[in-house]
Amino acid sequence: MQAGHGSAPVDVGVEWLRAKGAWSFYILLIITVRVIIGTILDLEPYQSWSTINILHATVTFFVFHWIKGSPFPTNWTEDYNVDKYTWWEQIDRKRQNTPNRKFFTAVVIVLYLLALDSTPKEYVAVHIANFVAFIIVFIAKMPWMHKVRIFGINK
Amino acid sequence: MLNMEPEVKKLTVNSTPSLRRLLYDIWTYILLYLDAYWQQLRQGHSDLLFHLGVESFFIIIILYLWFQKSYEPKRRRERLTEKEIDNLVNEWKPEPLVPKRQLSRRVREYLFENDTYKSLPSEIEELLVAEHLERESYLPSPREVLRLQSAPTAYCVVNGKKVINLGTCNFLGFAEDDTIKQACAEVLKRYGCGSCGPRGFYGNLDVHIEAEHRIAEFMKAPAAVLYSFGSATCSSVIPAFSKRGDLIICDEAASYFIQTGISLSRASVKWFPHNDMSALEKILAEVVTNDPISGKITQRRFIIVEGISSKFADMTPLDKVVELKNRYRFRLIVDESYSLGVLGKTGRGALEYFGLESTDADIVLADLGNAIATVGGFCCSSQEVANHQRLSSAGYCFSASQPPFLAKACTVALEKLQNECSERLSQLQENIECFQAALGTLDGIRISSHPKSPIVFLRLDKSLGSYTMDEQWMMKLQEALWSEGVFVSVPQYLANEHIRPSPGLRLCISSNHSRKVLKTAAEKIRKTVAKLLFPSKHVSPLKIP
Repeated sequence: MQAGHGSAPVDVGVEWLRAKGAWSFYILLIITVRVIIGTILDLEPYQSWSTINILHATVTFFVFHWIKGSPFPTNWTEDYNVDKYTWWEQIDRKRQNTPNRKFFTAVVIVLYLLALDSTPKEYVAVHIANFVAFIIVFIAKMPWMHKVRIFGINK
Repeated sequence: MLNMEPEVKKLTVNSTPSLRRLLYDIWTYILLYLDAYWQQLRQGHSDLLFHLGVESFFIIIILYLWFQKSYEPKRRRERLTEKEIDNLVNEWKPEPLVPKRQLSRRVREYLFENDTYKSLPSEIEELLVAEHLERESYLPSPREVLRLQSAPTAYCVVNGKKVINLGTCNFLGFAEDDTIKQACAEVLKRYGCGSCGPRGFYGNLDVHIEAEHRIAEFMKAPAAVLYSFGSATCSSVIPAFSKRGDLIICDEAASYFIQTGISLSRASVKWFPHNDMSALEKILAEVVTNDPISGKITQRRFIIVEGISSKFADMTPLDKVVELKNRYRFRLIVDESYSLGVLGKTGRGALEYFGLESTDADIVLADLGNAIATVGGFCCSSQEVANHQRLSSAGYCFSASQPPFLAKACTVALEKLQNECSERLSQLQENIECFQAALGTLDGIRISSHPKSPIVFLRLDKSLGSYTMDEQWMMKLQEALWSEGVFVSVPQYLANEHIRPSPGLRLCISSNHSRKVLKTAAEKIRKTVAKLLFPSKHVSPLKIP
């Protein structure tokens, strides 16, 4: 597209994060899923919190840290070439430690804490699963992991 | 309404203690909770201690994150492949330590005028000669400029003299056609001259849509898009479909308009030598071998060729190109500017000549300014490709639409071509054959043309020294031919063309020329060229002292 010479917009894949209420939407989404699985499946609190933690980690791992590029490539943007970047690496014009990134990291921590606190000590397997799910997504969100592919995974 | 007021007052009075009560309760609960916590801690519950530790640890992490400043990550260099490194190293040329042009203008002028330049090193001498000539060529005397003063028919008036016209691309003689003139006059009376708006903004008239339908029907393509100007067609269709990161494989001798389109698109481009199919195949194979194994290609890839080359008048073997395009899965853009209305049984162009359909190429472009004798251009393609252009092709979106009468001229000319294609085309082909036979070969001159091409280029076999000198010589030849009674044109090439062909004469043959006229013209060209190239052999008897 050639039309327009105004300020360059960001890629549509990460554009929505700038919108008002993006954080609230994200939190509400998690709460909704929590309520739904808690009521419909009739789970114990520790089961639902662990499910939420692991589910959140799995989904975000693939969506934020595994799939690269943009769903709708918008070549006229400033950072046009995002084919080699994951979604996490693209947000906020690749700046690190931005409020958005802090927020997502905090969400991961809080979800893990909730799962940890609600799970009784005896269920070691659940604790391990929670911890693994947490640590993978947490490390992937660290600033020093920007554009780093450990052991060439997903290169 | 009256009763409402006391009730509200009552509520507010009552609510205050209850709110206080609530806050008090919450505070009590917190204290109780902390107290219980404290009690358990004193009794040494390891569970709780562990939880407390972990929680404070993570809260510290969150607080730590909170106080971090944001920053821009360092840019890492993309790793280059071995081949890319080699290419970069090979491409690098060190700049000369001493700048090339070190003499001031005045000094050079002085040297040139005093013949001192003869003692200078040859390199500088050449530079000086070229520059002197260049300066001269900027200021042509008004006598040298040839002006056309009549319609571009078989004979035309140039600078007050009636001459044979081999200078205009009026291949089918539509420029002087009365039916077209009449139809144009009618449209001119109805709509006026200009349309005063782009197609998307009130510049869209029925004649434009009619012309588009007629073009699509004539070309046997699903859809056609009309452009206001021939050269704007290439330079806006190409960037409408290729962007940064896409790949274009283009003929080296493609016209300047195609080159403009490519550079506007910002796509990466690879050039193959003019009409060299083995080189093209090599490039395509190389591109395909570097593809990822997954076969997932995010790039759009195009091959761009011309039907009849605008610079060398030879034909691209389109059958071979289409085969390669299908084998390596590229898209094909064909510029039919000089082949439309000339080649093929019905005049559809080079694709038809090779027994192909318009749909075999993804995009077919053509200038309507040549054989169709109007102003404008069109792009034939599938419906989707046409629709995309209507929103994102610069020439379509942002320039005023074609003047309505010119669109009408296109419609009528194509109708005429459809009805009388066999006579007009065979007449043109006979003329081309006749003229090329009469021209034969010339000493010291390279004639580049295809036997079916209506344009013929004459170029010097051996350069006279520099581009400017060659061009000057061609201008002289043009003037000499004019005084002999033949009007030809000397195409001008820009210095920043990808491949700048040497200056030459362009001869255009029309179906309106009679054979006798063409034979005379060819004879005159032969004589004049020989006289100018080898003056010693052809000394005019009048000039002998």
